[in-house]
Amino acid sequence: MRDICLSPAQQYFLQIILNKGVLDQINFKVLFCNVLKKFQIEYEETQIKPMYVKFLREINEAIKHFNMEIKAGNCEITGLSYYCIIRLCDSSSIGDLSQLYSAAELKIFRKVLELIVESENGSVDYNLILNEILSMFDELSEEAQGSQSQIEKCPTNRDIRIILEKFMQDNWLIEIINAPNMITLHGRALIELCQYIKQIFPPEDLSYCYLCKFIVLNNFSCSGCSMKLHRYCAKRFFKGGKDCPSCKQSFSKDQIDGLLESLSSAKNAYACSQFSSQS
Amino acid sequence: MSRMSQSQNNAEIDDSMISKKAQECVEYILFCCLSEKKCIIRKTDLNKNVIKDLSRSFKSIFKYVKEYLEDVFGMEVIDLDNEKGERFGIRSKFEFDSHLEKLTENNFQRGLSDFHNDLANNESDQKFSSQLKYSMLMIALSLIFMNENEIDSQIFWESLKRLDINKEEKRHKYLGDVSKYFTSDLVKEGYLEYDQVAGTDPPSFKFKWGHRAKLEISKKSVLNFVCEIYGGSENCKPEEWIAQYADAIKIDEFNKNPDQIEPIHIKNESPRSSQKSVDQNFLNDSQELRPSRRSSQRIRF
Repeated sequence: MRDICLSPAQQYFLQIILNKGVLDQINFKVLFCNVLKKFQIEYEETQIKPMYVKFLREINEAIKHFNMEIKAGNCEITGLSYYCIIRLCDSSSIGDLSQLYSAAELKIFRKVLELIVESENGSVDYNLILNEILSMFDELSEEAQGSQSQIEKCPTNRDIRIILEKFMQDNWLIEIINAPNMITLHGRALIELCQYIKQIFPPEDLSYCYLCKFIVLNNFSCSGCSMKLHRYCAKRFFKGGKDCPSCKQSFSKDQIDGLLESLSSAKNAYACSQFSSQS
Repeated sequence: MSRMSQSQNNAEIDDSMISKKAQECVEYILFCCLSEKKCIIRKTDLNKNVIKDLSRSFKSIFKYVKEYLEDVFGMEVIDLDNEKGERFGIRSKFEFDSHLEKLTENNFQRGLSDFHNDLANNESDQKFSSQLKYSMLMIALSLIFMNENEIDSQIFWESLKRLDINKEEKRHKYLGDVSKYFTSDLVKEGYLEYDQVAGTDPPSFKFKWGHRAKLEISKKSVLNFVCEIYGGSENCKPEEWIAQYADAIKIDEFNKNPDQIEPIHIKNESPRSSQKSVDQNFLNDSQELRPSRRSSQRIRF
């Protein structure tokens, strides 16, 4: 047990990811190369993938003793991978959140989560969120008046916006990059809150990807049957076949091209926003 | 006495239990203590929430905790109360790297696109708020340091006035109650000390560096910060502040090897704090801790 230890480069990387909570694929690679450079570890551009796979595996091997793991997941909109550090405990992940956010903020987050999960395609318009939250607080204050208990302060539009933006800053929610005002769950939330979502929502509200069997919100579905896929799973699948993996009905070329097009444009838009911020 | 012999008999069982508890402590420290803004690890919190019935083994558990944090996470535990062993903080053993820091800071707006322009002058920008708080801390520490490590509160407040920060201000946009922030919040966090000057009537007060500031922030970096304010490396060199520079070199050396050098007045006489290590750090401007021993042993990559 006592020989759990990591190299300085791994320690340094671990500190970065603990600090950030989540890294997207682009930043992950940039940081990884820079950490290698910092610790004077030689590498070749072409060999980078097996290197970080091994690097991460060793880190995970060590930190599993502390109930932690660096997990990868995908953003449903852009298809980009995210790496985030999570706790492997049985209790729900929202427990962690309660350390960081106030009760009112969590209440709002839960409402947003509800709206997103129950929505058709996993994203909700900002104004709809605003209205729903306001009416939620209205109901609460009515109840409170009836029972003579503490009356909760109703947040203003501006308060709600600030809270939502806080969750966006912290990578829980994200605005769909090429659809302004549509809000969906960030890759980090999907990785960390997966268990929690399964616990609090009835199974009929959730759909699962036919290929990878994980929860899917923003899905690509077959018109013939009710099969749903992650858009990034579908992209990978279309490299090989064109038929629905469930009912064998063929997808039209327009459908496939539309999917690929929207994925790559979202990815590009995201990459642009990242680079413009770094220059 | 009987407790001692008992624990010796069960040494093997205890050892695995203790390391298990230590691992839970590490998890607790990293996810709970650090997510609070103050980043303070309290012995009582650990005992109450994690260690529970093994609390009499706190010492041995905590020894493991320190090892784990150092070997796996590259962090060091520091005692915030001068060896009392009640409150701890952690610091990274790696030097602050401004190049990597720039890469990791995501300063692009992650909010609602419709409101971006609005955000520029909006107090909701929380990131800025916490940054400003750290800047204020740095300024306070600089003021104290440049006044030979303690400053009369009167002078302190007057200096801040020039930055448009008034003691009387109760609802500052970012700091809130300004007076409370400096005399109470930062004191509780261990960054500042605020004491009455003995035998003064009416009482006058002075600020000093708190114990935590001494451990977490190097005087050299504060001196560099002051020089930058005075116009960068061309106009103002750290070496020009003779007294402060000597102080910075001496204190930083003490902070780096607190277990090697005992009290502060031992300069070079101590056989274990060799002259060589002083020179090395002096030249490299390095804040890294005991680098050679570590790096040679554990690179597995």
